[in-house]
Amino acid sequence: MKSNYDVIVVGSGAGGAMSAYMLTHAGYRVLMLEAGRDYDPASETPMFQMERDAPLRGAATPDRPKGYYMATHNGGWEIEGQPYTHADGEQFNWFRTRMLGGRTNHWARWSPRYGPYDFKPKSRDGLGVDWPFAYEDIADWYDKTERLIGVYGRNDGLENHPDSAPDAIQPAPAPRAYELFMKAACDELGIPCVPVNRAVLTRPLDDRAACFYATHCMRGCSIGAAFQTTTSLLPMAKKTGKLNIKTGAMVREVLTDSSGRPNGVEFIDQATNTHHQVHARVVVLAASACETARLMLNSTSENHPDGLANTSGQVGRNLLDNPQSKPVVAYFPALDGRPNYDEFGAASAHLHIPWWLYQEQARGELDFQRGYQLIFFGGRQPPGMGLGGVADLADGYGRDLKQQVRSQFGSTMTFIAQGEMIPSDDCYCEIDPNVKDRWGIPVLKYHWKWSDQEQRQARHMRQTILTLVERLQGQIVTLPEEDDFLSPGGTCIHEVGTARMGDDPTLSVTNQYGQCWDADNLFLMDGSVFASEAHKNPTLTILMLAMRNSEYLAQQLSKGEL
Amino acid sequence: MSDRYQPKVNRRTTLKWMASVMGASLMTYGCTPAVTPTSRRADLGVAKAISGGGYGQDASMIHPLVPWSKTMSKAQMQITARVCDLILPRDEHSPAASDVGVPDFIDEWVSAPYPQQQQDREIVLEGLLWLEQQALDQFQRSFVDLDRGEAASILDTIAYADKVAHRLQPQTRFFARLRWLALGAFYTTEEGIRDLNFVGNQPIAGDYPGASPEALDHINQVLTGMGLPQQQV
Repeated sequence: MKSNYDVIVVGSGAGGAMSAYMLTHAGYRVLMLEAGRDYDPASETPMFQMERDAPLRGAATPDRPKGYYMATHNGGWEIEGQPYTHADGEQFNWFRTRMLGGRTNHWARWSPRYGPYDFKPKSRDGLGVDWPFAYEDIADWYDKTERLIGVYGRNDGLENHPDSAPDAIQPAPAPRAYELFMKAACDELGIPCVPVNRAVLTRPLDDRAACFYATHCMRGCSIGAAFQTTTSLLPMAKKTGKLNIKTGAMVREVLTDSSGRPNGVEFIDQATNTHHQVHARVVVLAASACETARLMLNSTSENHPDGLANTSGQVGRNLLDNPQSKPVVAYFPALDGRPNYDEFGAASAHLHIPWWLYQEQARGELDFQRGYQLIFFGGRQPPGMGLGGVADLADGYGRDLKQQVRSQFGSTMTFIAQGEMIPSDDCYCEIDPNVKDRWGIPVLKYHWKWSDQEQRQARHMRQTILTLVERLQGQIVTLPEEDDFLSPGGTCIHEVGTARMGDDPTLSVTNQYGQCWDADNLFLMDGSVFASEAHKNPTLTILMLAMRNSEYLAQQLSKGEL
Repeated sequence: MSDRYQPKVNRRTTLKWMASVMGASLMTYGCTPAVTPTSRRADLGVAKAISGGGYGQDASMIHPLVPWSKTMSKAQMQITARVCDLILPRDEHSPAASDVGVPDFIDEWVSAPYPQQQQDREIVLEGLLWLEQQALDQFQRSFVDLDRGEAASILDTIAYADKVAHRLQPQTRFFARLRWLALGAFYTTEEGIRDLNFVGNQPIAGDYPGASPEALDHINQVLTGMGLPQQQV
């Protein structure tokens, strides 16, 4: 393929699409390579399809592990012909979504900012590493990102949960009755219970409509209210005439010239099963944290025997995910019989509990470092299998059972805690020398162990949930055991950290701009560059970094530095 | 019982099927005269083998299809319908389970080629056979021919969590699972959703208003009773 491109971007999810948006708007010609198929949200989103129209009432299966309608095509925990392996007795779950827009089509859109403590964790508690910048250095970029993608939320001025510029944030939807019920217990216990920030419009933006408070965001959003790259950044970048997207293009390796400098990529066109090489001045990897590490580790040559840009040996290391609890389900008899009204709202939770015990932790009063957030959802949502736990609660049969269900429907809540882990030598991925995927590309092998730190944090998560349930006179429906409270690594689908940024080239893969220390024209624009992972959902920070670092990249290009 | 379950399929299939059920039922239960209650073994026929794969990872979300065939025998379906109607009978709010095709869904579920469903298949099919055996042992008739009181005397031993004999725990797990499936199937139908009085998931104009004033009043009364602080939207 003849090179007509300044930059090749690998991946069309949050980081890749933001990068392509910024670079094309700066006037550069971009080729985007996406391993998955093309996807058209306008015609493929099941906005109002009913669970009863889907096989098994839409229940999760290995083919659609988050339910039939969650916008995942050719994706999931396992994909045929695209395996990954584990060290003996260890488990890491790797969710991939092989379609244009990647996981942005179905993510929950939760968009919290990292705060001052989150970028300087080592300075605070001595564990892990600091990021190469402070919150104050990038706060403006969060504002710019929020303005561009559209985020609703509220400025509550909480410690380490930064406020947005007033014009960067849209109004959050009002809480439902069951959420206020939970908030009352939190108020008494001194726990914050505040609006969730989400990348969903409550006011129109560009061509995108505001939310109309129906159909679940995880199905994708054909009206564009819920942010996904396929209805926003990608069409906007295409409008410049500078973006060419090739789907079904599985990148095998980054190519280098005789001096070892990257100059393009080799990909497999899945439609024809043919290999192609394409060249450009700059290569941006945004294939998702683990896929990006895999690509770098598979890009070996005489100059790069251990993989590209890996003289630090850190590529694939420091793999992080938010330690996530298994779901706890509880029934609250006090919610029975509340006057009926529309509790659908913006589909996801309107309130949540962000971490709040920073001072207690600083005083050494807790037996773990770093925080977690508590997510709770429930109420009267469209019925699906399980009825939000009511079907597990059911007893007996007959007319009494029907009355029981009628009265308990919407009175259950599900809790999930999502924490922060410390980077660990036990958690990483590497190339498995013995296994290849359907295209002959060596696959990843995962190593994963939760440490005592995460186990202690999990006990605290569980106790907080039980305290809230008890105060609200709830009855437990489902409660995982204390020593089995966390899901396996990767389950949160927040994997990051496999090529972290830093100030020291011997301990990090990139500088603060995602620019590889070993190759100044190779940039990483996905979650791989995270130096730590706060308990907060990472996508807003991926988008923010991709925006900031793509502007830096564009400046370097304009100066003729690359 | 005279009102046999009819799958929610087209009339022609139904008629053909009714004819074969009558035959099957006669063969299973009518051909061996003068058996003693204890010697008679329940026979519900054999479910067909699972055929066809799953729907795959790229199935259409706009036009969903169930690619696998149903597999339950006619006799298994009859008992399923009878039990589902005992679990979810017609009342003043909604029809019975079999009026809205719940037994067909159970068949769809246990016939699906996925691990969870395969696990449920074993539980459900064994449980149905156990019910039939109880009916034969206790009443010398098929479960589908028991009157409500007779059927209830069997179900009562496995349907209530706090009243189960230790030896019946597998049967209790079966009943809980079948009930779980029936509830999900039933309350996702139009009739079931209406019974729950579910409103929402309909586009609204303007901002989402949050808890209604009436619902807020209710919550605040509840909170007062618990000694918790009042809330505002």
